[in-house]
Amino acid sequence: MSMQLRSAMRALHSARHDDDIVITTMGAAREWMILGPRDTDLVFVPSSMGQATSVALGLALAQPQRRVIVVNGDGSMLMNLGSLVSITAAAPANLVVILADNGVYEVTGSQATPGAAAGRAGGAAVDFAAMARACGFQSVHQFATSAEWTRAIKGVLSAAGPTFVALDVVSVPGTPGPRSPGPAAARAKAFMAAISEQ
Amino acid sequence: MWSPSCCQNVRTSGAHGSVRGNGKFRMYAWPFDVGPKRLHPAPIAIEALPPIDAVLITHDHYDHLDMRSVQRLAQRGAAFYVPLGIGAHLQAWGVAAGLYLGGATPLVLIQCTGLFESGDALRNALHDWKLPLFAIIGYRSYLNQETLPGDTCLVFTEPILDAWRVGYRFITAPSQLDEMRAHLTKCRTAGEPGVVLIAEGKA
Repeated sequence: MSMQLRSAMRALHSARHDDDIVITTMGAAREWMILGPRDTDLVFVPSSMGQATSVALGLALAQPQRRVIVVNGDGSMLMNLGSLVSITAAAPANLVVILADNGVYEVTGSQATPGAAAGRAGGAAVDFAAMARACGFQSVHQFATSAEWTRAIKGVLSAAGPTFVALDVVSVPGTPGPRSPGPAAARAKAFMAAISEQ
Repeated sequence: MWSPSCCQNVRTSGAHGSVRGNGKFRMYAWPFDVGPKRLHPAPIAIEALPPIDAVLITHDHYDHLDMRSVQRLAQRGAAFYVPLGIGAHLQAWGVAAGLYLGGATPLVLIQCTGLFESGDALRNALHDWKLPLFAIIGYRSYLNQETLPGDTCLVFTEPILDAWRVGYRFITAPSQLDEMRAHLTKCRTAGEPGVVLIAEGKA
Protein backbone atom coordinates (compact mmCIF):
# COMPACT_ATOMS: atom_id res chain seq x y z
CA MET A 1 0.00 0.00 0.00
CA SER A 2 1.26 3.47 -0.84
CA MET A 3 -0.26 6.93 -1.07
CA GLN A 4 -0.16 9.60 -3.72
CA LEU A 5 2.28 12.38 -2.88
CA ARG A 6 -0.38 14.97 -3.76
CA SER A 7 -2.86 13.61 -1.21
CA ALA A 8 -0.14 13.31 1.44
CA MET A 9 0.81 16.94 0.90
CA ARG A 10 -2.82 18.04 0.83
CA ALA A 11 -3.27 16.57 4.31
CA LEU A 12 -0.23 18.51 5.51
CA HIS A 13 -1.46 21.68 3.85
CA SER A 14 -4.73 21.40 5.78
CA ALA A 15 -3.17 20.49 9.12
CA ARG A 16 -0.26 22.96 9.29
CA HIS A 17 -0.58 26.03 11.47
CA ASP A 18 -0.37 29.48 9.92
CA ASP A 19 2.88 30.29 11.70
CA ASP A 20 4.62 27.00 10.91
CA ILE A 21 7.65 27.05 8.65
CA VAL A 22 7.28 24.36 5.98
CA ILE A 23 10.35 23.46 3.95
CA THR A 24 9.81 21.38 0.84
CA THR A 25 12.22 19.90 -1.65
CA MET A 26 12.09 17.96 -4.92
CA GLY A 27 8.66 16.40 -5.65
CA ALA A 28 7.22 17.73 -2.41
CA ALA A 29 8.20 21.26 -3.46
CA ARG A 30 6.40 20.81 -6.76
CA GLU A 31 3.22 19.71 -4.97
CA TRP A 32 3.51 22.42 -2.32
CA MET A 33 3.70 25.11 -4.97
CA ILE A 34 0.49 23.77 -6.51
CA LEU A 35 -1.27 23.68 -3.13
CA GLY A 36 -0.07 27.17 -2.23
CA PRO A 37 2.78 27.97 0.15
CA ARG A 38 2.57 30.68 2.80
CA ASP A 39 5.13 33.48 3.12
CA THR A 40 6.74 31.63 6.02
CA ASP A 41 7.47 28.58 3.88
CA LEU A 42 10.70 27.81 2.13
CA VAL A 43 10.39 26.08 -1.22
CA PHE A 44 13.93 24.75 -1.17
CA VAL A 45 14.56 24.85 -4.91
CA PRO A 46 17.36 24.88 -5.92
CA SER A 47 18.30 22.49 -3.16
CA SER A 48 21.78 21.25 -2.46
CA MET A 49 22.07 17.50 -2.34
CA GLY A 50 20.13 16.68 0.78
CA GLN A 51 20.71 19.86 2.76
CA ALA A 52 17.03 20.51 3.52
CA THR A 53 17.15 18.65 6.84
CA SER A 54 20.27 20.59 7.90
CA VAL A 55 18.65 23.91 6.97
CA ALA A 56 15.55 22.84 8.90
CA LEU A 57 17.68 22.07 11.95
CA GLY A 58 19.24 25.53 11.84
CA LEU A 59 15.83 27.15 11.46
CA ALA A 60 14.35 25.12 14.30
CA LEU A 61 17.18 26.23 16.59
CA ALA A 62 16.93 29.86 15.52
CA GLN A 63 13.12 29.94 15.69
CA PRO A 64 12.30 27.79 18.73
CA GLN A 65 8.86 29.37 19.10
CA ARG A 66 7.75 28.06 15.69
CA ARG A 67 7.16 24.57 14.41
CA VAL A 68 9.49 23.75 11.53
CA ILE A 69 8.32 21.00 9.17
CA VAL A 70 10.63 19.73 6.45
CA VAL A 71 9.38 17.40 3.71
CA ASN A 72 12.27 15.48 2.24
CA GLY A 73 12.57 12.77 -0.38
CA ASP A 74 14.25 9.44 0.27
CA GLY A 75 16.95 10.16 -2.32
CA SER A 76 17.75 13.45 -0.61
CA MET A 77 17.65 11.80 2.79
CA LEU A 78 20.20 9.23 1.71
CA MET A 79 22.59 12.01 0.72
CA ASN A 80 22.54 13.50 4.20
CA LEU A 81 21.79 10.70 6.64
CA GLY A 82 24.18 12.24 9.13
CA SER A 83 21.72 15.09 9.61
CA LEU A 84 19.42 12.67 11.46
CA VAL A 85 22.11 12.26 14.08
CA SER A 86 22.76 16.00 14.26
CA ILE A 87 19.03 16.65 14.67
CA THR A 88 18.70 14.30 17.61
CA ALA A 89 21.92 15.61 19.13
CA ALA A 90 20.41 19.10 19.19
CA ALA A 91 16.92 17.64 19.83
CA PRO A 92 14.77 20.62 18.86
CA ALA A 93 11.25 19.78 20.06
CA ASN A 94 9.80 21.98 17.32
CA LEU A 95 11.21 20.07 14.33
CA VAL A 96 9.25 17.58 12.23
CA VAL A 97 10.99 15.63 9.46
CA ILE A 98 8.58 14.09 6.96
CA LEU A 99 10.10 11.62 4.54
CA ALA A 100 8.18 11.07 1.31
CA ASP A 101 9.62 7.68 0.41
CA ASN A 102 8.91 6.61 -3.17
CA GLY A 103 12.05 4.51 -3.59
CA VAL A 104 13.35 6.37 -6.63
CA TYR A 105 15.21 9.45 -7.78
CA GLU A 106 12.06 10.67 -9.48
CA VAL A 107 13.24 13.98 -10.92
CA THR A 108 16.21 12.38 -12.68
CA GLY A 109 14.27 9.56 -14.32
CA SER A 110 12.99 7.36 -11.49
CA GLN A 111 16.10 5.30 -10.98
CA ALA A 112 15.82 3.13 -7.84
CA THR A 113 17.62 4.53 -4.82
CA PRO A 114 20.10 2.28 -3.01
CA GLY A 115 17.63 2.34 -0.11
CA ALA A 116 14.79 0.80 -2.10
CA ALA A 117 14.42 -2.95 -2.47
CA ALA A 118 14.72 -2.59 -6.24
CA GLY A 119 18.02 -0.79 -5.84
CA ARG A 120 19.69 -3.39 -3.65
CA ALA A 121 21.55 -6.57 -4.49
CA GLY A 122 19.45 -8.36 -1.93
CA GLY A 123 17.23 -7.90 1.04
CA ALA A 124 14.45 -5.57 1.91
CA ALA A 125 14.29 -1.82 1.56
CA VAL A 126 16.05 0.32 4.13
CA ASP A 127 13.79 0.98 7.09
CA PHE A 128 14.01 4.75 7.54
CA ALA A 129 11.66 4.79 10.52
CA ALA A 130 13.83 2.26 12.34
CA MET A 131 16.87 4.33 11.44
CA ALA A 132 15.25 7.46 12.89
CA ARG A 133 14.32 5.56 16.02
CA ALA A 134 17.88 4.32 16.38
CA CYS A 135 19.16 7.87 15.98
CA GLY A 136 17.03 8.93 18.92
CA PHE A 137 14.02 10.70 17.42
CA GLN A 138 11.44 11.15 20.18
CA SER A 139 8.44 10.54 18.00
CA VAL A 140 8.57 8.20 15.00
CA HIS A 141 5.70 7.26 12.71
CA GLN A 142 5.14 5.43 9.45
CA PHE A 143 2.07 5.58 7.26
CA ALA A 144 1.23 3.53 4.19
CA THR A 145 -2.09 5.06 3.21
CA SER A 146 -3.39 8.56 2.83
CA ALA A 147 -6.37 7.73 5.04
CA GLU A 148 -4.15 6.70 7.96
CA TRP A 149 -1.90 9.73 7.53
CA THR A 150 -4.81 12.13 7.29
CA ARG A 151 -6.43 10.62 10.36
CA ALA A 152 -3.26 10.86 12.47
CA ILE A 153 -1.60 14.00 11.18
CA LYS A 154 -2.74 16.53 13.78
CA GLY A 155 -1.60 14.35 16.65
CA VAL A 156 1.68 13.58 14.93
CA LEU A 157 2.49 17.23 14.26
CA SER A 158 1.58 18.37 17.75
CA ALA A 159 3.68 15.76 19.59
CA ALA A 160 6.93 16.89 21.20
CA GLY A 161 9.76 16.34 18.77
CA PRO A 162 12.02 15.94 17.14
CA THR A 163 9.53 13.96 15.10
CA PHE A 164 10.16 11.70 12.12
CA VAL A 165 7.41 10.57 9.78
CA ALA A 166 7.96 8.09 6.96
CA LEU A 167 5.28 8.15 4.27
CA ASP A 168 5.12 5.35 1.72
CA VAL A 169 4.53 7.25 -1.49
CA VAL A 170 3.78 6.00 -4.99
CA SER A 171 6.44 6.79 -7.58
CA VAL A 172 5.13 8.32 -10.77
CA PRO A 173 7.75 7.89 -13.53
CA GLY A 174 7.87 10.81 -15.90
CA THR A 175 6.59 13.34 -13.40
CA PRO A 176 8.38 16.63 -14.05
CA GLY A 177 10.65 17.99 -11.37
CA PRO A 178 9.89 21.21 -9.54
CA ARG A 179 10.50 24.53 -11.25
CA SER A 180 11.94 27.23 -9.05
CA PRO A 181 9.32 29.84 -8.17
CA GLY A 182 11.90 32.58 -8.61
CA PRO A 183 15.43 33.69 -7.82
CA ALA A 184 16.51 32.06 -4.56
CA ALA A 185 18.20 35.15 -3.12
CA ALA A 186 15.06 37.27 -3.42
CA ARG A 187 13.01 34.49 -1.89
CA ALA A 188 15.46 34.19 1.02
CA LYS A 189 15.02 37.89 1.77
CA ALA A 190 11.24 37.65 1.53
CA PHE A 191 11.24 34.61 3.79
CA MET A 192 13.36 36.35 6.43
CA ALA A 193 11.12 39.40 6.29
CA ALA A 194 8.02 37.22 6.67
CA ILE A 195 9.21 35.35 9.72
CA SER A 196 10.45 38.52 11.40
CA GLU A 197 7.06 40.16 10.93
CA GLN A 198 4.94 37.35 12.34
CA MET B 1 32.37 34.62 37.20
CA TRP B 2 33.81 31.11 37.48
CA SER B 3 31.63 28.03 37.16
CA PRO B 4 33.83 25.06 38.01
CA SER B 5 35.16 22.96 35.14
CA CYS B 6 33.55 24.66 32.25
CA CYS B 7 32.34 28.26 32.33
CA GLN B 8 33.60 31.74 32.65
CA ASN B 9 31.67 34.95 32.22
CA VAL B 10 33.95 37.64 30.83
CA ARG B 11 32.98 41.27 30.96
CA THR B 12 34.64 44.02 28.99
CA SER B 13 33.97 47.73 28.87
CA GLY B 14 32.35 47.66 25.41
CA ALA B 15 28.73 48.42 24.81
CA HIS B 16 28.12 44.72 24.31
CA GLY B 17 30.53 43.62 26.96
CA SER B 18 29.73 40.09 27.90
CA VAL B 19 31.23 36.91 26.56
CA ARG B 20 30.18 33.60 28.01
CA GLY B 21 32.62 30.73 28.18
CA ASN B 22 31.65 27.24 27.11
CA GLY B 23 28.92 26.00 29.32
CA LYS B 24 27.06 23.07 30.74
CA PHE B 25 24.05 23.98 32.79
CA ARG B 26 22.40 20.61 33.33
CA MET B 27 22.69 18.59 36.51
CA TYR B 28 24.37 15.59 34.95
CA ALA B 29 28.04 15.49 34.05
CA TRP B 30 27.47 13.55 30.85
CA PRO B 31 24.94 13.44 28.02
CA PHE B 32 22.17 11.48 29.73
CA ASP B 33 19.77 12.23 32.56
CA VAL B 34 21.05 9.34 34.64
CA GLY B 35 24.49 8.60 36.01
CA PRO B 36 27.05 10.95 37.52
CA LYS B 37 25.65 14.21 38.78
CA ARG B 38 27.60 17.42 39.14
CA LEU B 39 28.57 18.21 42.72
CA HIS B 40 26.52 21.38 42.97
CA PRO B 41 23.95 23.18 40.80
CA ALA B 42 25.08 25.56 38.07
CA PRO B 43 25.73 28.91 39.75
CA ILE B 44 23.34 30.73 37.45
CA ALA B 45 20.51 29.72 35.14
CA ILE B 46 20.87 30.43 31.42
CA GLU B 47 17.79 32.59 31.52
CA ALA B 48 19.32 34.69 34.33
CA LEU B 49 22.53 35.44 32.46
CA PRO B 50 23.24 39.01 31.36
CA PRO B 51 23.12 39.83 27.60
CA ILE B 52 25.36 37.43 25.67
CA ASP B 53 27.26 38.49 22.57
CA ALA B 54 29.12 35.30 21.89
CA VAL B 55 29.18 31.69 22.99
CA LEU B 56 32.57 30.02 22.80
CA ILE B 57 32.63 26.24 22.66
CA THR B 58 36.18 25.05 23.08
CA HIS B 59 35.77 21.39 22.21
CA ASP B 60 33.16 18.69 21.89
CA HIS B 61 33.67 16.71 25.08
CA TYR B 62 30.29 16.15 26.65
CA ASP B 63 31.22 17.95 29.86
CA HIS B 64 31.72 21.11 27.80
CA LEU B 65 29.43 20.80 24.79
CA ASP B 66 25.95 20.06 26.08
CA MET B 67 23.41 20.26 23.30
CA ARG B 68 20.46 21.17 25.50
CA SER B 69 22.45 24.01 27.02
CA VAL B 70 23.49 25.06 23.51
CA GLN B 71 19.86 25.10 22.42
CA ARG B 72 18.86 27.33 25.31
CA LEU B 73 21.83 29.60 24.70
CA ALA B 74 20.89 29.80 21.01
CA GLN B 75 17.53 31.21 22.04
CA ARG B 76 19.42 34.15 23.56
CA GLY B 77 20.47 35.22 20.08
CA ALA B 78 24.22 35.05 20.68
CA ALA B 79 26.78 34.26 18.00
CA PHE B 80 28.40 30.85 18.37
CA TYR B 81 32.14 30.30 18.02
CA VAL B 82 33.11 26.65 17.79
CA PRO B 83 36.40 24.92 16.99
CA LEU B 84 37.42 22.44 14.36
CA GLY B 85 35.42 19.25 14.47
CA ILE B 86 32.18 20.58 15.84
CA GLY B 87 31.39 22.37 12.60
CA ALA B 88 31.43 19.06 10.77
CA HIS B 89 29.11 17.56 13.38
CA LEU B 90 26.59 20.25 12.56
CA GLN B 91 26.66 19.77 8.74
CA ALA B 92 28.07 23.22 8.88
CA TRP B 93 26.83 25.09 5.82
CA GLY B 94 23.26 23.80 5.81
CA VAL B 95 22.74 24.38 9.52
CA ALA B 96 24.41 27.79 9.25
CA ALA B 97 22.07 28.66 6.36
CA GLY B 98 19.06 27.70 8.46
CA LEU B 99 20.33 29.66 11.45
CA TYR B 100 20.89 32.73 9.30
CA LEU B 101 17.48 32.46 7.64
CA GLY B 102 16.01 32.18 11.13
CA GLY B 103 17.62 35.43 12.24
CA ALA B 104 20.72 34.14 14.07
CA THR B 105 24.35 35.00 13.32
CA PRO B 106 26.26 31.77 12.71
CA LEU B 107 29.98 31.37 12.24
CA VAL B 108 31.30 28.25 10.50
CA LEU B 109 34.57 26.78 11.77
CA ILE B 110 36.00 23.92 9.74
CA GLN B 111 39.30 22.64 8.47
CA CYS B 112 40.21 22.80 4.80
CA THR B 113 39.34 19.11 4.56
CA GLY B 114 35.81 20.09 5.59
CA LEU B 115 35.91 22.78 2.92
CA PHE B 116 36.65 20.09 0.33
CA GLU B 117 33.50 18.24 1.46
CA SER B 118 31.42 21.42 1.43
CA GLY B 119 31.00 21.89 -2.31
CA ASP B 120 27.31 21.84 -3.18
CA ALA B 121 26.12 23.05 0.22
CA LEU B 122 28.50 26.00 0.04
CA ARG B 123 27.54 26.82 -3.54
CA ASN B 124 23.86 26.67 -2.72
CA ALA B 125 24.01 28.77 0.47
CA LEU B 126 26.46 31.40 -0.78
CA HIS B 127 25.63 31.68 -4.48
CA ASP B 128 22.01 30.53 -4.93
CA TRP B 129 20.49 31.88 -1.73
CA LYS B 130 23.22 34.52 -1.41
CA LEU B 131 23.51 34.20 2.34
CA PRO B 132 26.42 36.16 3.86
CA LEU B 133 27.85 33.28 5.85
CA PHE B 134 31.32 33.65 7.31
CA ALA B 135 33.78 30.85 7.96
CA ILE B 136 37.12 30.42 9.68
CA ILE B 137 38.97 27.61 7.96
CA GLY B 138 42.05 25.85 9.26
CA TYR B 139 44.77 25.46 6.61
CA ARG B 140 46.22 22.06 7.47
CA SER B 141 49.99 21.55 7.34
CA TYR B 142 50.73 25.09 6.17
CA LEU B 143 53.25 25.82 8.91
CA ASN B 144 54.54 22.30 9.46
CA GLN B 145 54.42 19.20 7.28
CA GLU B 146 56.16 16.93 9.76
CA THR B 147 53.06 14.78 10.28
CA LEU B 148 51.89 14.75 6.67
CA PRO B 149 54.81 15.37 4.29
CA GLY B 150 53.50 16.48 0.91
CA ASP B 151 50.00 17.13 2.29
CA THR B 152 47.86 17.93 -0.75
CA CYS B 153 45.77 20.32 1.35
CA LEU B 154 48.52 22.78 0.39
CA VAL B 155 47.73 22.20 -3.28
CA PHE B 156 43.97 22.52 -3.23
CA THR B 157 42.80 24.80 -0.42
CA GLU B 158 43.30 28.21 -2.04
CA PRO B 159 42.24 27.15 -5.55
CA ILE B 160 39.03 25.72 -4.06
CA LEU B 161 38.27 29.03 -2.33
CA ASP B 162 39.00 30.85 -5.58
CA ALA B 163 36.76 28.45 -7.50
CA TRP B 164 33.85 29.09 -5.12
CA ARG B 165 34.53 32.85 -5.38
CA VAL B 166 34.77 33.45 -1.67
CA GLY B 167 36.80 36.44 -0.54
CA TYR B 168 39.34 35.32 2.02
CA ARG B 169 42.18 36.63 4.16
CA PHE B 170 45.13 34.47 5.00
CA ILE B 171 46.35 34.56 8.60
CA THR B 172 49.73 32.99 9.29
CA ALA B 173 50.64 34.63 12.62
CA PRO B 174 48.84 35.90 15.75
CA SER B 175 50.01 39.42 14.88
CA GLN B 176 47.50 39.37 11.99
CA LEU B 177 44.42 38.85 14.12
CA ASP B 178 43.34 42.43 13.54
CA GLU B 179 43.11 41.55 9.84
CA MET B 180 40.75 38.72 10.71
CA ARG B 181 38.55 41.05 12.73
CA ALA B 182 38.61 43.66 9.97
CA HIS B 183 37.61 41.12 7.31
CA LEU B 184 34.73 39.82 9.43
CA THR B 185 33.54 43.37 10.08
CA LYS B 186 33.82 44.29 6.40
CA CYS B 187 31.86 41.22 5.29
CA ARG B 188 29.17 41.67 7.94
CA THR B 189 28.80 45.36 7.02
CA ALA B 190 28.62 44.63 3.29
CA GLY B 191 26.33 41.62 3.80
CA GLU B 192 28.63 39.35 1.85
CA PRO B 193 30.16 35.96 2.63
CA GLY B 194 33.77 35.64 3.64
CA VAL B 195 36.48 33.34 4.89
CA VAL B 196 39.51 33.65 7.07
CA LEU B 197 42.13 31.03 6.37
CA ILE B 198 44.20 30.17 9.45
CA ALA B 199 47.57 28.51 8.93
CA GLU B 200 47.96 25.37 11.02
CA GLY B 201 51.04 23.54 12.23
CA LYS B 202 51.19 19.78 12.60
CA ALA B 203 48.16 17.78 11.49
